Amino acid sequence: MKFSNIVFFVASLLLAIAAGAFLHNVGVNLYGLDTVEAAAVGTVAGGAVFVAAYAGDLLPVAGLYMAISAKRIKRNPTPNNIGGLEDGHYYAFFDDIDEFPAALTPDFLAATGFGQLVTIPADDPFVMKTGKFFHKFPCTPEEGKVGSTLVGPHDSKGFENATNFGNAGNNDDLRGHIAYLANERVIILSKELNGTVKVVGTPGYPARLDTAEAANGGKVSDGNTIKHAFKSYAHVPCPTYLAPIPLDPTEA
Amino acid sequence: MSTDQTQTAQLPKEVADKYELRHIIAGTYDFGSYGVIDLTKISLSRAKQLVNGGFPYLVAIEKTTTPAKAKIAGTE
Repeated sequence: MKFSNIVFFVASLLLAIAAGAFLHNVGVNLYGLDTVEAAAVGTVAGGAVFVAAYAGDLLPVAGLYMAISAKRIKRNPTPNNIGGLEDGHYYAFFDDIDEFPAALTPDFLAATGFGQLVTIPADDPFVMKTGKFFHKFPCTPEEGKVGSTLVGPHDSKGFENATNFGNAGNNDDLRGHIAYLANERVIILSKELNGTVKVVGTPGYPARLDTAEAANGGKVSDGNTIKHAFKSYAHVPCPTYLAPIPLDPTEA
Repeated sequence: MSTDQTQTAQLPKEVADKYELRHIIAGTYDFGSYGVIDLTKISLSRAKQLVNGGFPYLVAIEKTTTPAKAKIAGTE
């Protein structure tokens, strides 16, 4: 046993004895407990202090603080796992959102399953301010992508969540939209071709326009395209959004 | 949940008489596999169809029955 462990053990024991003695005296002098009752209070208090100070430090952290127990990860139950994005996605200005889904800021200590960390449940939707909505924008098939990359050093790792879109370059409405978004904070809902919706952006780190590139192409075969991409950082990869997306009824 | 989104929006009366909304307020939403639905204009038949298909945001209103007069011991 290391010397530091012995010192820590003795210090924890002395702290526990002191706490027990203190509460024993409080019990006798303030609450008029008899000797046996006061001794019981002191012993229990001292024991609790010892566990908290010494034994608690030695117990596995996961056993004390993590609600998620290690469990089997089941095989993907559905064959619907094709890549690619749909041809329409949603954005909302960050300031237009009244309430964010609580699950967008996952609680690693309260979660009881791994899936909860990356899922916005059906009853936890975005709530918009009066007259504000998510709005649709297009993406040419097979020109879009959404994904997450683990970044950061050990013990500080997080996820870079990004999504990019490609469209016809002659769309002035889209080009102006991209220009306006250049310094805006947004939330992006990317719709995957397999039916899932991924969220890019969190209350703490809204998505921002990361790149935008317009080129008519040197040759006809190069195409005339405009591409733009959004990026955000989060504790988890882009969560799956299962709740309804509030839309402008005049656009739907 | 705040009701700032569309405070005045409501289900059509014929639908509101039989169903109530859960988790959301009336409005237009992309419900994923259920599609885009304007809940302020939804028909009763469509509402029934959705509920039968497991749509979690519309719940049938339970009919309240008038409780039978209870006999209280000692009052007769």
